[in-house]
Amino acid sequence: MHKTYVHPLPVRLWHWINAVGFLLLILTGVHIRYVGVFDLMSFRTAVTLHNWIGFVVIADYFVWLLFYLTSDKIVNYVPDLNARRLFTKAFRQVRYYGYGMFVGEKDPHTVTPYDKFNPMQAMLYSVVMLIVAPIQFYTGILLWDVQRFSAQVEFFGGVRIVDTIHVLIFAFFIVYIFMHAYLGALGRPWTAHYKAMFTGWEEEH
Amino acid sequence: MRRLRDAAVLPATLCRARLCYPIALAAPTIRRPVRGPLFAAGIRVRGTGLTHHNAAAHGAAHLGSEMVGMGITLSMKISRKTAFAGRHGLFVLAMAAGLAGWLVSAKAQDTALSDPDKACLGCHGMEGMDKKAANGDSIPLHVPADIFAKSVHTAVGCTGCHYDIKADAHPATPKNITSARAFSVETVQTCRNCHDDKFKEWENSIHASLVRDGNPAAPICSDCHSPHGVIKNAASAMESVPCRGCHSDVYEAYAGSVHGKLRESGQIMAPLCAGCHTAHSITAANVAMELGLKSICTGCHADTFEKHKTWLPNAGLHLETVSCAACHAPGVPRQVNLRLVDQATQKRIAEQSGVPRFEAAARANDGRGTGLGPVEVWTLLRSLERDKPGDQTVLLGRLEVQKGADAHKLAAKGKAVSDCGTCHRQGAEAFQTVSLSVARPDGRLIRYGAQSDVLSSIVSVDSIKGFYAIGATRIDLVDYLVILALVGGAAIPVGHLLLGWFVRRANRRGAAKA
Repeated sequence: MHKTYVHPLPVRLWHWINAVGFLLLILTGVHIRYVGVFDLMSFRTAVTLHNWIGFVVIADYFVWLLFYLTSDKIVNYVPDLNARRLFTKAFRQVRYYGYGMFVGEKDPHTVTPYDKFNPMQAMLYSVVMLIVAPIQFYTGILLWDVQRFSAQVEFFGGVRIVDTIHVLIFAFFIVYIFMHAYLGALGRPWTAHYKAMFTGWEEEH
Repeated sequence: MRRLRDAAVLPATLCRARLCYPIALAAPTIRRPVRGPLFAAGIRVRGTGLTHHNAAAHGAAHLGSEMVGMGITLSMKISRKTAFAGRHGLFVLAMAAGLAGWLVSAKAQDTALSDPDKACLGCHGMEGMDKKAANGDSIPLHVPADIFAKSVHTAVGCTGCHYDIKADAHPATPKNITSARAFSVETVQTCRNCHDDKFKEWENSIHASLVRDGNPAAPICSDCHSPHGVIKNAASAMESVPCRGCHSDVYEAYAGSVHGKLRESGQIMAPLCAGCHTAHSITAANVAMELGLKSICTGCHADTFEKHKTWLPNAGLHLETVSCAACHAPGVPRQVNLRLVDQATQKRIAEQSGVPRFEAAARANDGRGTGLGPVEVWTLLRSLERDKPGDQTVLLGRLEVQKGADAHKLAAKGKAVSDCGTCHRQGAEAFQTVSLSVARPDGRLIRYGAQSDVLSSIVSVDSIKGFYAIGATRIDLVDYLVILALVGGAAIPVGHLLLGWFVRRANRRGAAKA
């Protein structure tokens, strides 16, 4: 068995705070948008919790950002600009997830501290962490105090548009979390990646 | 004011006229023979028995002469025959009239009335005195002396306002009065002489605007301030506040409100009508709200924002887009008012005087006549923009009560709507009635109904940018996408597991065949 330390402590802390935060944001967000459909808490409680948790998640994001900006491991998020190579690797990865893993083939991507993500993960995480999540945080802050940020809300076309963007990204994260949790369970054994996300050590059998 | 009364020229103008000129000059005593119209009519009045210009004597002297001819009637009529009864008869008449006059104006004589005013009241103090206008309206000429005596206008006296009465033409000169209303509107200009500041405020008010529009119910000065009975602070007592005369529904709502009850219990800090609306520069309610009626609420409730901020998310936005009454008058029907606003200037679109285009454009776009739908609203905005190239028209929404009177049913703080779910849920009552509005030149609104789904249509993302209530006006299409995401997210693991099952099965079968 080969062990690789791929998840430093700041990343693990960020990840789990973020994970719990996302789940709570979804829970409270659903209560805000669908009052009466779910009845775990009042609208006002949901809004208050949503705001506080939102700020915690935003602060947590900066833990992640600061770590990678000050670490050489930032290479994990530097995109591969060689389209041919990227496509080839991505295709191999899709083939593995769609066929190879079911017939006992080895994962074409080997996890190392400076090459943590397979090409599909790399693309997705880059987009999520550098584009989608910041937009969600930003629209969330605008909605937190619409009047204070009224000029920016107006710039983006009004509160209706800002809220629609926020909800569409929320829909994206619903899909993302299902997928992320499921793919995380595809280790060998199925708890391997979860365990690694707690310990920092990825074990290769 | 006192100087005005002192300078009053009533005896020299009014009573010097025709009938009892010497009597009018008689204060305090008259010792001269009378030669006037009565003399011309064969009456010789020697007023030696009069000790002063007795109002009743004055009135009695008028009776049976020109006044009846002018169309002026008195409830107490003394015939010409009686007037001709000779010196003895006249003396009796004078005494009787003096007694009657004393009865009529006893209080006036004892209080603030000046002698000239008493002279006028000699006739005008008699009940039932009126004049017919050309259209048949009855214009009361009766001034109850006791009421006038209590009025602040005793300071200026009768001629302070009725300065157009000519000594030699009263009361015989008939005026061409078309109607009581026309007479009042014309006469009201008199008030300006002393109350110029208030008059200017009124001139800019919605009331004056309605008067100019020819609305016969729109109030002029004398409709609120009884000109002969105006007293100080009349408008500050609930029972005498003049607004209730026309706005009885509003008054009833107010009287039952927290403000009305406090006022009734003697809390003079609790506002009456003018406390919020001002007395004279009254604007249309929606304009007042935009221009600062809400700031008048916060004038007393100074910590409104701070208090709301402690529990209400986005308190500032709520205070901006929700009228106070929408929450503080619980249980009343509410509506969404989508105001057409020029995006560049953020000023509401006003209908130009004489060139109405909003209503016509709205009707043209509302093909089925069932109220504007989402697409119709969008096309309406674009059509209005075509009329004025370069402008971009947007809709800014505001949640308010449906009826103006209901806005006064303000309840105690503890009864105000504080459950966010009242509004922030799909199908909430507050969002079922929707209208678009522009302002008339005088500030009143022109509304056109819209369907409630304009608030939840994807098309409205463009046309109703400035109004959105989380939960209540959420866009249906986005909801479908959320459901799709949920189903799709759950389908990915299931699909992948199924794929694995099929692949492994196919692989096993392939191996078995091999």
